[in-house]
Amino acid sequence: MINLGLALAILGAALAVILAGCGSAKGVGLAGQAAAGLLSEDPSMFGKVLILQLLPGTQGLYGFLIAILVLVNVGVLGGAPKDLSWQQGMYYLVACLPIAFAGLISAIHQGKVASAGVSLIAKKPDQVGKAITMASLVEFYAILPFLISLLAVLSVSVG
Amino acid sequence: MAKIKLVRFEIAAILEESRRLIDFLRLCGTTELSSVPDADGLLSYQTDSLCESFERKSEMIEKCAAALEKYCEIKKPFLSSFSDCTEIELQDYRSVCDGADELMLVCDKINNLCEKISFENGEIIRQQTLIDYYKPWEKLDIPMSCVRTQNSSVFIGYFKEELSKDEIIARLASSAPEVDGVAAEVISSDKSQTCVCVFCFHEDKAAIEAALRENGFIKPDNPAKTLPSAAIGKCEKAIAECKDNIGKYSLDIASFASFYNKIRLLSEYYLNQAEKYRAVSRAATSERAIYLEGYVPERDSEQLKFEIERRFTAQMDVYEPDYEKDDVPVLLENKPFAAGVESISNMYSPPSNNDVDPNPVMSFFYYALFGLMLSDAGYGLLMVIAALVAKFKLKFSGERAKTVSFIFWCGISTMIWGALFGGWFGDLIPTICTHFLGMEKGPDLAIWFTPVENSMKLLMFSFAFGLAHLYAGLAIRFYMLARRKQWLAAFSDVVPVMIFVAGFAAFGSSLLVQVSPAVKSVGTKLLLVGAILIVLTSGRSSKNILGKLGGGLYGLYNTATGYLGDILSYSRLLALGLVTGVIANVVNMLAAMFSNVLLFVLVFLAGHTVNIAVNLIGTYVHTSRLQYVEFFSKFYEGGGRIFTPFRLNLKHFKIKEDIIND
Repeated sequence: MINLGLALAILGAALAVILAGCGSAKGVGLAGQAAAGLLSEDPSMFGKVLILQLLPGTQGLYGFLIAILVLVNVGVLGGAPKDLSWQQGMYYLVACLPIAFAGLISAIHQGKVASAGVSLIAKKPDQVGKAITMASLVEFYAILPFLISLLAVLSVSVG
Repeated sequence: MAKIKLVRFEIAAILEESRRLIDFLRLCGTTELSSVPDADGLLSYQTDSLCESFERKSEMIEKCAAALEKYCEIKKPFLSSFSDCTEIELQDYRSVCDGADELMLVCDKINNLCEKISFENGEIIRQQTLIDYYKPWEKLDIPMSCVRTQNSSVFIGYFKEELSKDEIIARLASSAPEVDGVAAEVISSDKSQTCVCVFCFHEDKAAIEAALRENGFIKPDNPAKTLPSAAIGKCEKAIAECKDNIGKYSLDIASFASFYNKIRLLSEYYLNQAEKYRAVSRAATSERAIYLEGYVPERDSEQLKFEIERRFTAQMDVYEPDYEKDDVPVLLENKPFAAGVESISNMYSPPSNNDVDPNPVMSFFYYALFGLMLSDAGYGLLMVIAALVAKFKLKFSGERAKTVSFIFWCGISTMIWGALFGGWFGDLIPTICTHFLGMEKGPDLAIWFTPVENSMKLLMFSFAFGLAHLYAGLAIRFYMLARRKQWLAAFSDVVPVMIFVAGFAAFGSSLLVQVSPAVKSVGTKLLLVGAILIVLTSGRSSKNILGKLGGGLYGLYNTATGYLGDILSYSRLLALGLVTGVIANVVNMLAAMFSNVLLFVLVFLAGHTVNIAVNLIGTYVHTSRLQYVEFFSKFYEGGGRIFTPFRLNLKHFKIKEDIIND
């Protein structure tokens, strides 16, 4: 049964996946361009830059995870969509917003830091630890909203 | 102690023995040579160009080895792509060193053949271009260079557009209306060009030529003097000849297959020679003597002194290094458990001479936090299996052995946490039970609790683990300050913070979850006591009373915000743990949707492979970050330099026997 509540919940899941995914795509893209530039000079750095390039990818994963949990909670995954009131649907929509927006922005900025990190290790290959740490500092501000979205989605079960 | 004490040494020896002495030091492999400072009457060798020439040779030899791999199809067993290390006898190495010149001749021959092959390849491309050039003219039945016959003038060329015979004749007629008697033949035409042959009587030559030019007629740059089809045939024959030659040359290269290992060893020999002469350049010489300086582990110094003075006309002095003035390197030696994380702490920065070796304490926390974040017993099991295979099949040594031990212990920890939380490839077993065995509900495998259902509980425990981690860091700081006898700093920098943070944690937890009132009241008191102590102690460097108070309040603010951030940062333990578990569950769910065993296995394998790969990287990065940012900031300075002994360094080979016993 499709109603407004369910549609709102799915809008939330969609926003989590879309915005966080777009952010990650942009972030991984930025880091990837820098990485390819470095690899053209020194292909042996692949292992190191791979980690840097993948770091902005986690936001998309977090968004995906929240979306899956919402879909499971409202019964879309599992074959029996629940009968949600519009308030309940709104609840899920709002619960998805933290990872959606913070994921979008933080992934882009993490991508920028990661691509700067690539140019750092191009000049000083032994500084890869610091480059990774700096990029992971940005990631924390995706982890916090992810936790909030996660706790909000997990702690309420409807229907 | 995991840090090995190093001492400084000086050797003075007579010049005639310098070569043997340096070879001996390299065989021992326990010393690091540093530059002897300039002094009157001392000279040093300039070996830069020599070293470069060795490196160039090694590079050239590597190319030969690559050529041999290409043309001889040297087969490598699958596992060797990970290890790529051949065991050899010291004798083999010596024979390669002695026969270096002859081997170089072989390399020259191989290189010559390679050059010939690349020449032939270039020739093939050249002939191919010619063929492409003649191809549009293939149907022309007179030589391309022909300009006249007995009765007529001939124009062979092309227009840069697609034209038919009638169009060409019409254009010529309109450009040169006075000429009567022009024939044209289209040889070939496509969208970009039309190749034509135009005939006219000799007396009309000038008029037709002008008319042709006006219509954009172009003569080919270098027309073939023969029939185009004959020219193409010639090119094809040349290509076949080149290919024949290449086959012959590659057979010749293949005949050197038996030299493959020797050649690779030779390349490493030259690299080591370059390294050796770099070491030589650090020594200083006078007319009769050579002076060497450097560092050696204290435990090896006495035997080294004995051996050197017994074998050479030399004097060796050993003394304490001056940690203030000299750039003293650090040498770490740990059991495999702690050595596994050495690369992690070195990636941040190797310990300085003031630091304690962080690895023993860090290794425990690293493995514990890693396991908690990955927390899937199935994934842990795979890591353990991979590590065991590497350990017993590939027999790594050095850095690679440390990596294997790192993977092993991370895997063990992941297995333990996974078993506690009931994750075996996510909820694989319950999924199989419900979807394939027809059970109502699968078994609950969690020994402790299931994170997804008790996320708040795990969040609290994450903070608790974080607290333990931070306390360990503070305890090391206390130890470091106490070791330097800075008791005031030890007590005032560490103890108030510990009290404050303990109170903070107890008080904070009472806000989030239900705790007994006693915890809350004790927490509040500790928080107050800690805060007062911090205000009293952290401004102590300032001279006047206002400065002390200001510094104290600032210190309190910094401690409160800093530790709040630090502890919250451990929430990533919960977040990443849940990510792994939930994605694994989603993979299982997707796989089971098909209710088909084959599809189940396929989706299962693909999904879990991706999940392992992504989460291994995430877990590795975030565990490292917790060490770097939260843990190291409490005590670690870093900025040291790792001791790199002067020794025979072979990348692809391992010498079997103990080389010092000769």
